[in-house]
Amino acid sequence: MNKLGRFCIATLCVAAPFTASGGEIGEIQWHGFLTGAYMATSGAGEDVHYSGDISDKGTTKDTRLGLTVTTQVDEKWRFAAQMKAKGVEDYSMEMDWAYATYDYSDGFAVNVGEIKYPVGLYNEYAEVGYTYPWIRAPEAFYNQNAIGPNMTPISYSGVGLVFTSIGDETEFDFNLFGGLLDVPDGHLNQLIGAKLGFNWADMLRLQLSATTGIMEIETGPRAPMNNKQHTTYAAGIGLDMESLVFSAEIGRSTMGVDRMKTTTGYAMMGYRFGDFMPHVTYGHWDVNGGWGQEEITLGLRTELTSNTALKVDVKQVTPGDNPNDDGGYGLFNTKPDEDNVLIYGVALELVF
Amino acid sequence: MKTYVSTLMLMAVLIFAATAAQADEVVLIVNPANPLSEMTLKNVKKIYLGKNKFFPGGGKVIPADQPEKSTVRKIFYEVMIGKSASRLKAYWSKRIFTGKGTPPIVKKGDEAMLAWVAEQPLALGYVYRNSVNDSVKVLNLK
Repeated sequence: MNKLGRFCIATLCVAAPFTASGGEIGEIQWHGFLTGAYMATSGAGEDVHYSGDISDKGTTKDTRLGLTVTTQVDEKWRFAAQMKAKGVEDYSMEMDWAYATYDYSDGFAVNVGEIKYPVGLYNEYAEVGYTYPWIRAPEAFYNQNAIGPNMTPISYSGVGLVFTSIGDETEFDFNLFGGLLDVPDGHLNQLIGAKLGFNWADMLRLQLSATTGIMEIETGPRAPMNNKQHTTYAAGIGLDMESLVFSAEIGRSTMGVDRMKTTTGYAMMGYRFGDFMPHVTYGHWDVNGGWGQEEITLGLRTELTSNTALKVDVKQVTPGDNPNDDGGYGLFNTKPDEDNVLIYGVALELVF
Repeated sequence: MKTYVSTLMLMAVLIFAATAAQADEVVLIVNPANPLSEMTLKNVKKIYLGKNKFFPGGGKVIPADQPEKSTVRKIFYEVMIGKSASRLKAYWSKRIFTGKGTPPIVKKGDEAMLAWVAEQPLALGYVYRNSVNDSVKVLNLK
Protein backbone atom coordinates (compact mmCIF):
# COMPACT_ATOMS: atom_id res chain seq x y z
CA MET A 1 0.00 0.00 0.00
CA ASN A 2 1.44 3.36 -0.92
CA LYS A 3 1.61 6.62 1.02
CA LEU A 4 -1.62 7.95 -0.48
CA GLY A 5 -3.61 4.92 0.70
CA ARG A 6 -2.04 5.07 4.15
CA PHE A 7 -2.89 8.78 4.32
CA CYS A 8 -6.56 8.03 3.53
CA ILE A 9 -6.76 5.34 6.22
CA ALA A 10 -5.01 7.53 8.77
CA THR A 11 -7.39 10.39 7.99
CA LEU A 12 -10.36 8.05 8.28
CA CYS A 13 -9.20 6.74 11.65
CA VAL A 14 -8.51 10.20 13.00
CA ALA A 15 -11.62 11.84 11.60
CA ALA A 16 -14.14 9.13 12.35
CA PRO A 17 -14.34 9.35 16.16
CA PHE A 18 -14.80 13.12 16.03
CA THR A 19 -17.41 13.08 13.32
CA ALA A 20 -19.49 10.17 14.55
CA SER A 21 -22.74 11.53 15.95
CA GLY A 22 -25.14 8.63 16.08
CA GLY A 23 -26.37 8.58 12.49
CA GLU A 24 -26.24 10.10 9.02
CA ILE A 25 -23.23 12.47 8.66
CA GLY A 26 -20.34 11.05 10.59
CA GLU A 27 -21.92 7.64 11.00
CA ILE A 28 -19.41 4.85 10.50
CA GLN A 29 -20.70 1.78 8.68
CA TRP A 30 -18.94 -1.57 8.78
CA HIS A 31 -19.71 -4.26 6.25
CA GLY A 32 -17.99 -7.48 5.34
CA PHE A 33 -17.84 -10.46 3.03
CA LEU A 34 -16.67 -14.02 3.41
CA THR A 35 -15.92 -16.66 0.80
CA GLY A 36 -15.23 -20.23 1.83
CA ALA A 37 -14.06 -22.12 -1.24
CA TYR A 38 -12.58 -25.43 -2.26
CA MET A 39 -11.27 -26.01 -5.79
CA ALA A 40 -9.38 -28.83 -7.47
CA THR A 41 -8.23 -29.89 -10.92
CA SER A 42 -8.82 -33.29 -12.46
CA GLY A 43 -6.39 -34.58 -15.03
CA ALA A 44 -3.78 -31.82 -14.70
CA GLY A 45 -1.08 -34.14 -13.36
CA GLU A 46 1.51 -34.02 -10.62
CA ASP A 47 3.09 -30.62 -9.88
CA VAL A 48 0.78 -28.94 -12.37
CA HIS A 49 -0.95 -25.89 -10.97
CA TYR A 50 -3.69 -23.80 -12.46
CA SER A 51 -3.69 -20.06 -11.91
CA GLY A 52 -1.02 -20.34 -9.25
CA ASP A 53 -2.64 -22.59 -6.69
CA ILE A 54 -5.24 -25.10 -7.93
CA SER A 55 -3.99 -28.66 -8.44
CA ASP A 56 -5.26 -32.23 -8.40
CA LYS A 57 -4.69 -32.19 -4.63
CA GLY A 58 -7.27 -29.44 -4.17
CA THR A 59 -7.01 -26.16 -2.33
CA THR A 60 -8.99 -23.81 -0.13
CA LYS A 61 -6.82 -20.83 -1.03
CA ASP A 62 -9.71 -18.92 -2.63
CA THR A 63 -11.14 -18.58 0.88
CA ARG A 64 -11.13 -14.93 1.90
CA LEU A 65 -12.57 -12.41 4.30
CA GLY A 66 -13.05 -8.69 3.75
CA LEU A 67 -14.08 -5.79 5.94
CA THR A 68 -15.20 -2.44 4.59
CA VAL A 69 -15.52 0.76 6.56
CA THR A 70 -17.20 3.89 5.24
CA THR A 71 -18.06 7.23 6.72
CA GLN A 72 -19.67 10.41 5.47
CA VAL A 73 -17.55 13.05 7.13
CA ASP A 74 -19.67 15.97 5.98
CA GLU A 75 -22.02 16.73 3.11
CA LYS A 76 -19.16 16.67 0.59
CA TRP A 77 -16.48 14.31 1.89
CA ARG A 78 -16.68 10.53 2.16
CA PHE A 79 -14.00 8.05 3.14
CA ALA A 80 -14.04 4.33 2.44
CA ALA A 81 -11.51 1.54 2.91
CA GLN A 82 -11.48 -2.22 2.53
CA MET A 83 -9.22 -4.73 4.24
CA LYS A 84 -8.92 -8.33 3.11
CA ALA A 85 -7.32 -11.58 4.21
CA LYS A 86 -6.95 -14.26 1.53
CA GLY A 87 -5.97 -17.87 1.72
CA VAL A 88 -3.68 -17.42 -1.25
CA GLU A 89 -1.79 -14.79 0.79
CA ASP A 90 -1.72 -16.89 3.99
CA TYR A 91 -4.58 -14.85 5.46
CA SER A 92 -2.41 -11.84 6.21
CA MET A 93 -4.69 -8.82 6.54
CA GLU A 94 -3.97 -6.30 3.79
CA MET A 95 -5.53 -3.09 2.59
CA ASP A 96 -7.46 -3.78 -0.63
CA TRP A 97 -8.32 -0.16 -1.35
CA ALA A 98 -8.74 3.10 0.54
CA TYR A 99 -9.84 6.38 -0.90
CA ALA A 100 -11.55 9.67 -0.21
CA THR A 101 -14.40 11.01 -2.33
CA TYR A 102 -15.35 14.64 -2.73
CA ASP A 103 -18.96 14.85 -3.96
CA TYR A 104 -18.93 18.15 -5.79
CA SER A 105 -22.54 17.54 -6.86
CA ASP A 106 -24.88 14.61 -7.63
CA GLY A 107 -23.26 14.55 -11.07
CA PHE A 108 -19.57 14.94 -10.32
CA ALA A 109 -17.22 13.40 -7.76
CA VAL A 110 -13.46 13.17 -7.33
CA ASN A 111 -11.81 10.05 -5.85
CA VAL A 112 -8.28 10.18 -4.42
CA GLY A 113 -6.33 7.25 -3.01
CA GLU A 114 -5.99 3.56 -3.80
CA ILE A 115 -8.97 2.78 -5.99
CA LYS A 116 -10.12 -0.47 -7.58
CA TYR A 117 -9.17 -0.61 -11.26
CA PRO A 118 -12.49 0.28 -12.91
CA VAL A 119 -12.13 -1.81 -16.09
CA GLY A 120 -14.50 -4.73 -16.60
CA LEU A 121 -18.02 -5.31 -15.34
CA TYR A 122 -16.88 -7.22 -12.25
CA ASN A 123 -13.35 -6.04 -11.51
CA GLU A 124 -14.23 -3.46 -8.88
CA TYR A 125 -15.82 -6.12 -6.67
CA ALA A 126 -13.91 -9.15 -7.90
CA GLU A 127 -13.07 -10.14 -4.32
CA VAL A 128 -16.74 -10.22 -3.32
CA GLY A 129 -17.91 -13.54 -4.68
CA TYR A 130 -21.48 -12.96 -3.53
CA THR A 131 -21.92 -10.36 -6.29
CA TYR A 132 -21.42 -12.68 -9.27
CA PRO A 133 -22.49 -16.17 -10.34
CA TRP A 134 -19.17 -18.04 -10.56
CA ILE A 135 -16.65 -19.06 -7.91
CA ARG A 136 -14.06 -17.15 -9.95
CA ALA A 137 -14.98 -14.54 -12.55
CA PRO A 138 -14.05 -15.83 -16.05
CA GLU A 139 -10.28 -16.10 -16.06
CA ALA A 140 -10.04 -15.57 -19.79
CA PHE A 141 -10.81 -11.96 -18.92
CA TYR A 142 -10.20 -11.66 -15.16
CA ASN A 143 -6.77 -13.04 -14.45
CA GLN A 144 -3.68 -11.59 -12.92
CA ASN A 145 -1.50 -12.06 -15.95
CA ALA A 146 0.13 -8.78 -16.85
CA ILE A 147 -0.54 -9.25 -20.52
CA GLY A 148 -4.31 -9.54 -20.28
CA PRO A 149 -6.72 -6.67 -20.86
CA ASN A 150 -7.87 -6.82 -17.29
CA MET A 151 -4.39 -6.81 -15.94
CA THR A 152 -5.08 -7.05 -12.28
CA PRO A 153 -7.73 -6.89 -9.62
CA ILE A 154 -5.23 -4.83 -7.62
CA SER A 155 -6.10 -1.20 -7.02
CA TYR A 156 -4.44 1.70 -8.79
CA SER A 157 -3.02 4.63 -6.84
CA GLY A 158 -4.18 7.93 -8.15
CA VAL A 159 -7.14 10.11 -8.94
CA GLY A 160 -10.49 9.40 -10.60
CA LEU A 161 -12.97 11.97 -11.89
CA VAL A 162 -16.48 10.50 -12.01
CA PHE A 163 -19.26 12.20 -13.97
CA THR A 164 -22.76 10.78 -13.54
CA SER A 165 -26.05 11.61 -15.20
CA ILE A 166 -29.16 9.93 -13.83
CA GLY A 167 -32.53 9.98 -15.57
CA ASP A 168 -35.77 8.29 -14.58
CA GLU A 169 -34.61 4.86 -15.68
CA THR A 170 -31.22 5.53 -17.25
CA GLU A 171 -27.83 6.27 -15.81
CA PHE A 172 -24.65 7.32 -17.59
CA ASP A 173 -21.29 7.49 -15.91
CA PHE A 174 -17.91 8.57 -17.21
CA ASN A 175 -14.79 7.83 -15.21
CA LEU A 176 -11.51 9.47 -16.13
CA PHE A 177 -8.67 8.11 -14.05
CA GLY A 178 -4.91 8.17 -13.80
CA GLY A 179 -2.01 7.14 -11.61
CA LEU A 180 0.08 4.03 -11.04
CA LEU A 181 -0.98 0.39 -11.21
CA ASP A 182 0.84 -2.57 -9.68
CA VAL A 183 1.04 -5.68 -11.84
CA PRO A 184 2.82 -8.97 -11.10
CA ASP A 185 6.60 -8.29 -11.15
CA GLY A 186 6.25 -4.59 -11.90
CA HIS A 187 4.18 -1.50 -12.42
CA LEU A 188 2.19 0.25 -15.08
CA ASN A 189 3.32 3.85 -14.81
CA GLN A 190 1.68 6.97 -16.22
CA LEU A 191 -1.65 5.15 -16.27
CA ILE A 192 -4.45 7.06 -17.94
CA GLY A 193 -7.85 5.51 -18.52
CA ALA A 194 -11.43 6.26 -19.30
CA LYS A 195 -14.57 4.23 -18.72
CA LEU A 196 -18.01 5.00 -20.10
CA GLY A 197 -20.93 3.18 -18.52
CA PHE A 198 -24.64 3.01 -19.21
CA ASN A 199 -27.27 1.48 -16.96
CA TRP A 200 -30.95 1.04 -17.76
CA ALA A 201 -33.24 0.29 -14.82
CA ASP A 202 -30.53 -1.86 -13.19
CA MET A 203 -31.33 -4.43 -15.87
CA LEU A 204 -28.99 -3.51 -18.71
CA ARG A 205 -25.39 -2.42 -18.27
CA LEU A 206 -23.03 -1.40 -21.06
CA GLN A 207 -19.40 -0.49 -20.55
CA LEU A 208 -16.60 0.75 -22.78
CA SER A 209 -13.11 1.41 -21.50
CA ALA A 210 -9.65 2.31 -22.72
CA THR A 211 -6.43 2.52 -20.73
CA THR A 212 -2.81 3.14 -21.53
CA GLY A 213 0.43 3.36 -19.59
CA ILE A 214 4.14 2.58 -19.65
CA MET A 215 5.04 -0.86 -18.36
CA GLU A 216 7.92 -1.22 -15.91
CA ILE A 217 9.00 -4.85 -15.63
CA GLU A 218 12.77 -5.12 -15.44
CA THR A 219 13.21 -8.78 -14.64
CA GLY A 220 11.58 -12.08 -15.48
CA PRO A 221 10.07 -13.44 -18.66
CA ARG A 222 7.97 -10.33 -19.24
CA ALA A 223 10.99 -8.01 -19.23
CA PRO A 224 10.62 -7.44 -23.02
CA MET A 225 7.57 -5.35 -22.11
CA ASN A 226 9.76 -2.99 -20.07
CA ASN A 227 9.32 0.67 -21.03
CA LYS A 228 6.79 -0.28 -23.71
CA GLN A 229 3.37 1.26 -23.98
CA HIS A 230 0.60 -1.03 -22.74
CA THR A 231 -2.81 -0.19 -24.21
CA THR A 232 -6.09 -1.98 -23.66
CA TYR A 233 -9.62 -1.60 -24.95
CA ALA A 234 -12.55 -3.43 -23.41
CA ALA A 235 -16.30 -3.57 -23.92
CA GLY A 236 -18.95 -5.31 -21.86
CA ILE A 237 -22.66 -5.92 -21.67
CA GLY A 238 -24.62 -7.18 -18.68
CA LEU A 239 -28.29 -8.08 -18.61
CA ASP A 240 -30.09 -8.95 -15.39
CA MET A 241 -33.80 -9.55 -15.86
CA GLU A 242 -35.99 -11.17 -13.25
CA SER A 243 -35.02 -14.61 -14.49
CA LEU A 244 -32.54 -14.28 -17.33
CA VAL A 245 -28.97 -13.22 -16.60
CA PHE A 246 -26.44 -12.59 -19.35
CA SER A 247 -23.06 -10.94 -19.52
CA ALA A 248 -20.31 -10.76 -22.09
CA GLU A 249 -17.04 -8.87 -22.34
CA ILE A 250 -14.29 -8.57 -24.87
CA GLY A 251 -10.89 -6.97 -24.55
CA ARG A 252 -7.83 -6.35 -26.66
CA SER A 253 -4.35 -5.47 -25.44
CA THR A 254 -1.17 -4.40 -27.16
CA MET A 255 2.11 -3.96 -25.34
CA GLY A 256 4.83 -3.32 -27.89
CA VAL A 257 5.68 -7.02 -28.23
CA ASP A 258 3.84 -8.72 -31.06
CA ARG A 259 3.71 -12.21 -29.56
CA MET A 260 2.06 -10.81 -26.42
CA LYS A 261 -0.87 -9.18 -28.21
CA THR A 262 -4.05 -10.59 -26.79
CA THR A 263 -7.75 -10.72 -27.53
CA THR A 264 -9.95 -12.16 -24.87
CA GLY A 265 -13.59 -12.45 -23.99
CA TYR A 266 -16.37 -14.49 -22.51
CA ALA A 267 -20.14 -14.86 -22.62
CA MET A 268 -22.27 -16.11 -19.74
CA MET A 269 -25.95 -16.97 -19.58
CA GLY A 270 -27.92 -18.00 -16.54
CA TYR A 271 -31.55 -18.48 -15.62
CA ARG A 272 -33.08 -18.07 -12.17
CA PHE A 273 -35.53 -20.75 -11.04
CA GLY A 274 -36.49 -19.25 -7.70
CA ASP A 275 -33.41 -19.56 -5.49
CA PHE A 276 -31.49 -21.63 -8.03
CA MET A 277 -29.53 -20.24 -10.94
CA PRO A 278 -27.77 -22.61 -13.31
CA HIS A 279 -25.38 -20.86 -15.68
CA VAL A 280 -23.02 -21.59 -18.53
CA THR A 281 -19.98 -19.58 -19.63
CA TYR A 282 -17.67 -19.76 -22.60
CA GLY A 283 -14.37 -17.89 -22.41
CA HIS A 284 -11.45 -17.53 -24.80
CA TRP A 285 -8.03 -15.98 -24.24
CA ASP A 286 -6.11 -15.68 -27.48
CA VAL A 287 -2.45 -14.70 -27.33
CA ASN A 288 -0.37 -14.18 -30.48
CA GLY A 289 2.33 -16.39 -28.96
CA GLY A 290 -0.16 -19.26 -28.72
CA TRP A 291 -0.32 -19.88 -24.97
CA GLY A 292 -3.87 -18.67 -24.34
CA GLN A 293 -6.73 -20.91 -23.29
CA GLU A 294 -10.35 -21.79 -23.85
CA GLU A 295 -12.74 -22.42 -20.98
CA ILE A 296 -16.29 -23.66 -20.57
CA THR A 297 -17.93 -23.39 -17.17
CA LEU A 298 -21.13 -24.94 -15.89
CA GLY A 299 -22.27 -23.66 -12.54
CA LEU A 300 -25.13 -23.53 -10.10
CA ARG A 301 -25.73 -20.71 -7.66
CA THR A 302 -28.23 -21.27 -4.84
CA GLU A 303 -29.51 -18.48 -2.60
CA LEU A 304 -29.55 -19.93 0.91
CA THR A 305 -30.68 -16.73 2.63
CA SER A 306 -30.90 -13.08 1.58
CA ASN A 307 -27.15 -12.70 2.23
CA THR A 308 -25.74 -16.20 1.70
CA ALA A 309 -25.22 -18.16 -1.49
CA LEU A 310 -23.82 -21.58 -2.29
CA LYS A 311 -22.00 -22.12 -5.59
CA VAL A 312 -20.88 -25.21 -7.42
CA ASP A 313 -18.80 -24.82 -10.61
CA VAL A 314 -17.27 -27.26 -13.06
CA LYS A 315 -14.92 -25.77 -15.62
CA GLN A 316 -13.15 -27.36 -18.56
CA VAL A 317 -9.95 -25.58 -19.55
CA THR A 318 -8.11 -26.24 -22.80
CA PRO A 319 -4.73 -24.48 -22.85
CA GLY A 320 -3.00 -23.31 -26.03
CA ASP A 321 -0.41 -25.37 -27.89
CA ASN A 322 2.70 -23.27 -27.29
CA PRO A 323 4.40 -22.60 -23.96
CA ASN A 324 4.97 -19.02 -22.87
CA ASP A 325 8.37 -17.75 -21.72
CA ASP A 326 7.78 -19.32 -18.30
CA GLY A 327 6.99 -22.67 -19.91
CA GLY A 328 3.35 -22.26 -18.94
CA TYR A 329 0.28 -23.07 -21.02
CA GLY A 330 -2.71 -20.81 -20.51
CA LEU A 331 -2.91 -20.31 -16.77
CA PHE A 332 -1.20 -23.67 -16.09
CA ASN A 333 2.39 -23.50 -14.84
CA THR A 334 3.37 -26.28 -17.23
CA LYS A 335 1.77 -28.57 -19.80
CA PRO A 336 -1.00 -30.59 -18.13
CA ASP A 337 -1.29 -34.34 -18.64
CA GLU A 338 -4.57 -34.03 -20.51
CA ASP A 339 -5.59 -31.63 -23.27
CA ASN A 340 -8.78 -30.73 -21.42
CA VAL A 341 -8.54 -30.29 -17.68
CA LEU A 342 -11.55 -30.19 -15.40
CA ILE A 343 -11.59 -27.73 -12.55
CA TYR A 344 -14.34 -28.15 -10.03
CA GLY A 345 -15.19 -26.25 -6.94
CA VAL A 346 -17.69 -25.39 -4.28
CA ALA A 347 -17.99 -22.09 -2.44
CA LEU A 348 -20.10 -20.53 0.25
CA GLU A 349 -20.53 -16.77 -0.14
CA LEU A 350 -21.68 -14.43 2.59
CA VAL A 351 -22.05 -10.66 2.91
CA PHE A 352 -22.84 -8.92 6.16
CA MET B 1 -64.00 -24.72 -17.71
CA LYS B 2 -66.16 -21.64 -17.03
CA THR B 3 -65.93 -22.28 -13.27
CA TYR B 4 -62.17 -22.66 -13.56
CA VAL B 5 -61.76 -19.31 -15.36
CA SER B 6 -64.07 -17.56 -12.88
CA THR B 7 -62.07 -18.96 -9.97
CA LEU B 8 -58.84 -17.80 -11.54
CA MET B 9 -60.25 -14.30 -12.12
CA LEU B 10 -61.52 -14.12 -8.55
CA MET B 11 -58.11 -15.17 -7.25
CA ALA B 12 -56.42 -12.52 -9.41
CA VAL B 13 -58.76 -9.82 -8.08
CA LEU B 14 -58.16 -10.93 -4.49
CA ILE B 15 -54.37 -10.98 -4.96
CA PHE B 16 -54.48 -7.53 -6.57
CA ALA B 17 -56.69 -6.17 -3.78
CA ALA B 18 -54.47 -7.69 -1.11
CA THR B 19 -51.34 -6.23 -2.72
CA ALA B 20 -52.95 -2.80 -3.05
CA ALA B 21 -54.07 -2.91 0.57
CA GLN B 22 -50.56 -3.92 1.68
CA ALA B 23 -48.98 -1.07 -0.28
CA ASP B 24 -51.44 1.36 1.21
CA GLU B 25 -50.51 0.26 4.70
CA VAL B 26 -46.94 1.54 4.34
CA VAL B 27 -46.54 5.30 4.03
CA LEU B 28 -43.62 7.64 3.46
CA ILE B 29 -42.99 10.18 6.18
CA VAL B 30 -40.91 13.34 6.48
CA ASN B 31 -40.27 15.96 9.14
CA PRO B 32 -43.21 18.41 9.48
CA ALA B 33 -40.83 21.27 8.58
CA ASN B 34 -40.21 19.71 5.16
CA PRO B 35 -42.15 21.79 2.57
CA LEU B 36 -42.69 18.72 0.37
CA SER B 37 -46.15 17.15 0.31
CA GLU B 38 -45.77 14.56 -2.44
CA MET B 39 -43.17 12.51 -4.31
CA THR B 40 -43.11 10.25 -7.32
CA LEU B 41 -42.38 6.56 -6.94
CA LYS B 42 -39.36 7.03 -9.23
CA ASN B 43 -37.90 9.64 -6.86
CA VAL B 44 -38.45 7.38 -3.88
CA LYS B 45 -36.72 4.55 -5.68
CA LYS B 46 -33.70 6.68 -6.63
CA ILE B 47 -33.28 7.96 -3.09
CA TYR B 48 -33.56 4.51 -1.49
CA LEU B 49 -31.10 3.04 -4.00
CA GLY B 50 -28.58 5.78 -3.25
CA LYS B 51 -28.77 7.33 -6.72
CA ASN B 52 -30.18 10.64 -5.55
CA LYS B 53 -29.11 12.48 -2.43
CA PHE B 54 -31.66 15.28 -2.66
CA PHE B 55 -35.42 15.69 -2.30
CA PRO B 56 -37.22 16.87 -5.44
CA GLY B 57 -36.71 20.62 -5.28
CA GLY B 58 -33.17 20.44 -3.95
CA GLY B 59 -33.08 19.77 -0.20
CA LYS B 60 -30.61 17.19 1.09
CA VAL B 61 -32.27 13.90 2.04
CA ILE B 62 -31.29 11.27 4.59
CA PRO B 63 -33.35 8.11 3.99
CA ALA B 64 -33.83 5.51 6.71
CA ASP B 65 -34.80 1.86 6.57
CA GLN B 66 -36.59 -0.47 8.93
CA PRO B 67 -34.80 -3.63 10.18
CA GLU B 68 -33.91 -6.17 7.53
CA LYS B 69 -36.33 -8.90 8.62
CA SER B 70 -39.29 -6.64 9.33
CA THR B 71 -42.51 -7.07 7.34
CA VAL B 72 -42.85 -3.33 6.79
CA ARG B 73 -39.50 -3.27 5.03
CA LYS B 74 -40.35 -6.32 2.93
CA ILE B 75 -43.57 -4.67 1.77
CA PHE B 76 -41.84 -1.35 1.11
CA TYR B 77 -39.09 -2.84 -1.06
CA GLU B 78 -41.17 -5.34 -2.95
CA VAL B 79 -44.08 -2.99 -3.66
CA MET B 80 -42.46 0.45 -3.93
CA ILE B 81 -38.86 -0.24 -4.93
CA GLY B 82 -39.43 -3.48 -6.81
CA LYS B 83 -36.53 -5.48 -5.38
CA SER B 84 -36.53 -8.65 -3.32
CA ALA B 85 -34.28 -8.94 -0.26
CA SER B 86 -31.61 -10.98 -2.05
CA ARG B 87 -31.59 -8.72 -5.15
CA LEU B 88 -31.30 -5.72 -2.87
CA LYS B 89 -28.41 -7.31 -1.00
CA ALA B 90 -26.63 -7.98 -4.29
CA TYR B 91 -27.27 -4.39 -5.42
CA TRP B 92 -25.85 -2.84 -2.26
CA SER B 93 -22.93 -5.26 -2.12
CA LYS B 94 -21.72 -3.85 -5.44
CA ARG B 95 -21.82 -0.32 -4.05
CA ILE B 96 -20.58 -0.99 -0.52
CA PHE B 97 -17.60 -3.10 -1.50
CA THR B 98 -16.41 -0.57 -4.07
CA GLY B 99 -16.83 2.40 -1.73
CA LYS B 100 -19.49 3.93 -3.96
CA GLY B 101 -22.23 4.12 -1.37
CA THR B 102 -23.89 2.64 1.64
CA PRO B 103 -27.50 1.64 2.27
CA PRO B 104 -29.86 3.85 4.27
CA ILE B 105 -29.40 3.91 8.02
CA VAL B 106 -31.67 1.59 9.98
CA LYS B 107 -34.24 2.63 12.59
CA LYS B 108 -35.56 -0.21 14.71
CA GLY B 109 -39.32 -0.20 14.28
CA ASP B 110 -42.07 2.35 13.64
CA GLU B 111 -41.63 4.05 17.00
CA ALA B 112 -37.92 4.69 16.50
CA MET B 113 -38.52 5.80 12.91
CA LEU B 114 -41.21 8.28 13.96
CA ALA B 115 -39.02 9.71 16.74
CA TRP B 116 -36.06 10.13 14.38
CA VAL B 117 -38.07 11.70 11.55
CA ALA B 118 -39.70 14.09 14.03
CA GLU B 119 -36.24 15.32 15.04
CA GLN B 120 -34.34 15.21 11.73
CA PRO B 121 -35.35 17.91 9.19
CA LEU B 122 -33.65 16.00 6.32
CA ALA B 123 -35.30 12.68 7.12
CA LEU B 124 -37.27 10.37 4.85
CA GLY B 125 -38.71 7.21 6.33
CA TYR B 126 -41.56 4.74 6.07
CA VAL B 127 -43.93 3.21 8.62
CA TYR B 128 -47.30 1.49 8.73
CA ARG B 129 -50.09 4.00 8.20
CA ASN B 130 -51.73 3.11 11.50
CA SER B 131 -48.51 4.06 13.37
CA VAL B 132 -48.45 7.63 12.07
CA ASN B 133 -48.89 10.45 14.59
CA ASP B 134 -48.76 14.27 14.50
CA SER B 135 -44.99 14.44 14.94
CA VAL B 136 -44.41 13.61 11.25
CA LYS B 137 -45.89 14.41 7.85
CA VAL B 138 -47.13 11.77 5.42
CA LEU B 139 -46.08 12.22 1.79
CA ASN B 140 -48.53 11.47 -0.98
CA LEU B 141 -47.22 9.24 -3.73
CA LYS B 142 -47.75 10.50 -7.29
